[in-house]
Amino acid sequence: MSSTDLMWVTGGPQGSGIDTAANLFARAVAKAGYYVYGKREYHSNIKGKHSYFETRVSRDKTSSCMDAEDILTAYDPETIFQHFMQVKKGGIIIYNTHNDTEDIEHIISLENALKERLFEFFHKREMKGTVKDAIDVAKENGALVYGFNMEGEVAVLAKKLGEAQLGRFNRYVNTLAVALSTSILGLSKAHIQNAAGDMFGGKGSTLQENIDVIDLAYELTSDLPKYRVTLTDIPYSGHRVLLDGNTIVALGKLAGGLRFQSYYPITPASDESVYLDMNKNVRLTDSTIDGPAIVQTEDEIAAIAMANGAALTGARSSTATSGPGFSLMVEGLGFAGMIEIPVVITYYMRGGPSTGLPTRNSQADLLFALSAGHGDFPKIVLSSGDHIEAFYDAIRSLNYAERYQMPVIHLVDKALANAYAVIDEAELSTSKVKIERGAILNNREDNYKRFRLTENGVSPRATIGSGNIYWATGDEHDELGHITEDPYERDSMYEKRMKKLVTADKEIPESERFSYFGDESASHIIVSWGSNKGAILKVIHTLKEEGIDIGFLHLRMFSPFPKGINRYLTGKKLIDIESNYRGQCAYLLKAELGITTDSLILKYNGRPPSDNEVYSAVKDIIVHGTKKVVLTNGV
Amino acid sequence: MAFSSFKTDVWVDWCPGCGDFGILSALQMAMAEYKKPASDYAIFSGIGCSGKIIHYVNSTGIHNLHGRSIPMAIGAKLANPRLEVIVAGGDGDMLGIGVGHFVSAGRRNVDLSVLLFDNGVYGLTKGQAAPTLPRGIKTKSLSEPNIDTNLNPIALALTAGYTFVARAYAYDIKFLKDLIVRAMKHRGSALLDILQACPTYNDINTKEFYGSRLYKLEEPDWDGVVRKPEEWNDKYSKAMQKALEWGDKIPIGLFYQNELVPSYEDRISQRLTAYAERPPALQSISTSDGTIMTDLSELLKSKRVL
Repeated sequence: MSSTDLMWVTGGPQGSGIDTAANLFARAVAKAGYYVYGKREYHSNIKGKHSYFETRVSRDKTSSCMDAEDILTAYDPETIFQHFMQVKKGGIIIYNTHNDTEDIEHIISLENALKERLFEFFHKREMKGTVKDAIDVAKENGALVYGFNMEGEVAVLAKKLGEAQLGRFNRYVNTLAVALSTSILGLSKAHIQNAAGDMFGGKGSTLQENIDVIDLAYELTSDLPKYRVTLTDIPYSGHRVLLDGNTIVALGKLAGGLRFQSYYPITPASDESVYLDMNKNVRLTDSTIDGPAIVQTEDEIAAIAMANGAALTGARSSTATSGPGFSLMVEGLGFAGMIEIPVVITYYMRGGPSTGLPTRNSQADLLFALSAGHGDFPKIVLSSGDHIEAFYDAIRSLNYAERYQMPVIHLVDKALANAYAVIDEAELSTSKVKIERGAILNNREDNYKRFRLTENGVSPRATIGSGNIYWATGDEHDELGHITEDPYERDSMYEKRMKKLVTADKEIPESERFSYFGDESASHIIVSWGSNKGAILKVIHTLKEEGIDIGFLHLRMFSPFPKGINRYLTGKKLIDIESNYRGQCAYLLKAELGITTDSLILKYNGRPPSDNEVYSAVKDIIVHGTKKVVLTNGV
Repeated sequence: MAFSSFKTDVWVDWCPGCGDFGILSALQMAMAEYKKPASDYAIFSGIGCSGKIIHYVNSTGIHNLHGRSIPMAIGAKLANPRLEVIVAGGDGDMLGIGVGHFVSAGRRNVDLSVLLFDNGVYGLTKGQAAPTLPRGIKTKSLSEPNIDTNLNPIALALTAGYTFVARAYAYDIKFLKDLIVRAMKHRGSALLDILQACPTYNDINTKEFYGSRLYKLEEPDWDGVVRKPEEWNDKYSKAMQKALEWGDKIPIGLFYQNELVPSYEDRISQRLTAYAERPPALQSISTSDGTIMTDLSELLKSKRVL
């Protein structure tokens, strides 16, 4: 049996049901036993601009996408113009012939820069630039095209069903498009109908109408040849869930005993808080229903201040934000560092600076997160590479915060935050991690000193309301928490705080701080972090099949920096891969270990690196010793 | 508990004659009178001279970032509503850098008492104009008259939705103490605007200035308490009108109180099942050996595709 691994893409104007269409597809193919990794790309806009979902369907788990599409499913004209060049030779385009005469000039949502590139492209071919022209070019490139008048077909169906308002049925065009594609992929009709059942069950006539539209799609395609790779049922075991990065972090936080989250709305972070708010009444194993208070604040300054305040009472507290919000949180972060508050900040990275690319991927905030705040103070900074890591990192972040009584910044890049993945439920187990609250004082202690100087820097922490009285100040302070400017006291308190990071460095195992993949004897080692992990794992696998051994060091904790990685890196040719301009992780390797990276693969156009481009860049570096490759793929 | 038990042995380093002394004494007296255990109080203070007050009170106190004491206090109160939460800060702290939080607190009506140390200047940085200093006034610390129009804390608090709005005077300790107790008893956000002198930098709003002007809002002439819904509009309007009074006569006392508005804690209780009985800070999250108590099975089930 061939190992199924294909890319399916659909797109359309924002607000027209792209998420629903992609969700329907993902659920349907998952029911046949396949894993799915879905990348969501969208504009900072509510309605009208182009958004799309790229979905990888495979037998094995994946956490990345390929550039070349197997199936493009398009019911609107812009999707054709955005993606027709990405369809691979032998790939399939399912499109809406209703749009044949639409041309680029009249699609107002097309961005000018793309419009100009397309004009030039079609002009060279002496074409006007209609949907039909694009389809013809795709055909020349070897795509197989299946055209349907989707509105027409839906209207006929509506009439047949005795539906008076034909317009109402137009919303089923995307269901039709998805079902046409699953039929051509040879997916059992029952799976997509069941998927529709999951999504629309209990919503009146909607489900039946979706079922009828799916029947229609399978009828229309019954005589057409199937794609060369078909999605026949494959065996699976256990339950599987479909989750995005924001939601899996929220689930991790709930598992980790989160009891307070404050936030200010920001993309791509607020979906996490909204999910928490909708699911805040949490069932515990003893059947009680408890859960966190979720508070929407007036700004990010208040968000971190509230989380700090809540943390002082013993409630596990966090906030979630993105770059612009984190910029505002910095003073609160420093305060948490100074008065030793266990608080977690989930930092979803998007393109900056300033408002930047609000809905696009970036890893340009690593150095900012590490150095945020005036003065020296300890903080833990970690980042997740995929959904499973994000789940456990969310739990562990709450543990680290309490064990070391300091702020923890959990970095999640946008690509991961918005990526959907089919995951084996057994992989999300609450029995794999314990709750560790560190030195917490539950009883009254005479002459209690909140900032008592200790061997490891960690002072027993009383929570407000636990019977102990203490003082705390953002000024330098003595053990009681009163202001001091005495030079000796300053030294001992400063050193006490910083010592906690040394303690954390000693105690947190390497397995929670980095992962090494591949052969340790390889001459070339890729160093990377965050969601690039998925594409890099694919690439080292492919290269191995070609007989090239490459190691991959995936860094997951940056503070305290795991110096132990040195043993994997010395004497190797190092390739650093990051989604930023400067190579921030490479800079850290230099600063922390004195190691110089040999080559950089960078990407900063707001789209995550794909397997293909990482592969080509790595190959280029191995063969030609290229020093720097900038990746530019993406729509 | 005796009033003296709320004192610490930290040296109080305010200037002689500062209004802060009166506020400190009144607060300690109020805390003693209110009879909560010292460890159930939490005072959140801002930056500036007034911010140091937490070090002089023998109960838990957090000396905060500039302007952020309100949101931090809200976080603590919402996580553990059994705490008696007090916010103490200057007019620069709460109406300047922290004014967004000051306004937002009113919208929420979280049960806390905000003590506004109102002296019109930024004392600790040598007397720059603060938000309650009227435009055109030149204190001895200013090189030119104040260029900005002043904020009216009473009117602003009423607009923002505070459900207890009062003004006191730092040198009338008993009157101030009584209002602090009432503010603590009040269920909802309470603003207590406390007029005081800054003898070092503000030579305009002095004891002499206030001495001849202040008068008390007292029954039977004045009753700002809303007891039934139909009184709401009338008492609110009258309080707003009274808030505008500033000149030869300056009113102090309780302008407005309305406990008919649900507190933020009440609103959370409507949504979070356990909240009233077991607020977030008092919930168990693990068994004694650290085993996670959260049961994710239902949440995961709702995301199942297989």
